Amino acid sequence: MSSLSSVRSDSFTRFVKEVETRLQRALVARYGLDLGQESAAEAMAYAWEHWDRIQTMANPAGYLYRVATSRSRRIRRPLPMLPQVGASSPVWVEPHLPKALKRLSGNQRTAVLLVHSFEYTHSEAADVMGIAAGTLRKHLSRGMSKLRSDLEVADES
Amino acid sequence: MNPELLERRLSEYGRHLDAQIVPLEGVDVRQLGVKPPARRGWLVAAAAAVFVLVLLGTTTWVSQLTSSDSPVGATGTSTPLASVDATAGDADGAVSVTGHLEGSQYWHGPIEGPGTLGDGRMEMSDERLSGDVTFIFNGNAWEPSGPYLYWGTMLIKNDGGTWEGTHLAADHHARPGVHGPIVMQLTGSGDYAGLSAILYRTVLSPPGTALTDLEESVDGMIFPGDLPPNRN
Repeated sequence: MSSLSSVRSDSFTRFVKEVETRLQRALVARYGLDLGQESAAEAMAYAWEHWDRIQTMANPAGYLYRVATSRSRRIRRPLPMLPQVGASSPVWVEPHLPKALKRLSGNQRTAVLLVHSFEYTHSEAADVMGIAAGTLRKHLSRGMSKLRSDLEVADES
Repeated sequence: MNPELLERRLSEYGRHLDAQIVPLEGVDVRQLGVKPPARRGWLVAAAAAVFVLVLLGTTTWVSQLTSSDSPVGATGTSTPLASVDATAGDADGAVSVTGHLEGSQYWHGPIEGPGTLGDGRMEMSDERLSGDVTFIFNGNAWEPSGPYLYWGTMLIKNDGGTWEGTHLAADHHARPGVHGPIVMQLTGSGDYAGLSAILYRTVLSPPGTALTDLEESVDGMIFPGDLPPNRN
């Protein structure tokens, strides 16, 4: 027997499967590992609570990202704690990169990490951040410019 | 480092982050702390009411003056004029905004001199108001524990244009735990021509907090049209 609640639960489970990675990556990029994952979980809880409305949206992931950032601003968050390089890390990470990323604004850091670290297209990254592709490109361009300057990246020419 | 190497480093960092992100899949969101809607609604309403009362308590005073030199805390009440919901708008096109200011400077003591420069970055729920901000401070204070005033001009700049206007603070060193709200009134230009904004910046400063660790928030409204004339 299928009840209304189980139908709701099934559609929500499919939704979580579809958007969780994008949302987690975007919020981890913005707030760091711990707060980012916490914000993503809170956003999903918000989605469950407002599922009737959220499931009809054209871009629910972008909306939930905005919900998470809006809530985070009301509770003043410390600067993001991006993971540093540990000796046991399976991946080699440029030692100065986390510090340089931390100096970017939240939007710039999210745009840079979504596009250059998680390899999203501009359109995909803009979608999950709930902003226009043109705005994404501006954040990305300014963020990369700051990163190049901080890490003393030589010009290509 | 060359540009290609930076790209590779960023890609490696992405894998580093991915390896540490714990999937939500399989987690029952109903166990993530969501309260039943009815109870949560009451909590939200109660929290909003407390917030509005605290905010208005700092701005609308019914002072009880005494003959003592010691400051006396004053509170008051008023009818709320606007919601603080960051997504709210009204028929006149006014939009409520919330956010915070990062990297601003604080100091004890008088403003160093007319025209002292400060800067920071505004991160607001409405991107139109996010950007690099510059303040010029003028002010004076009775030190070390009296009232203080400061005022000046300010500019928020982002890719779409600028917001230019004034800021004003009037407070007393003895008021514990909070500084502000500092009133900011701004006029947009560039993409924001024809818009104005009124913002309130509040700095929480519990006793013993280092000046570098203060928490602060900004909220207010963007609206079409000009600020009223004769603002002096």
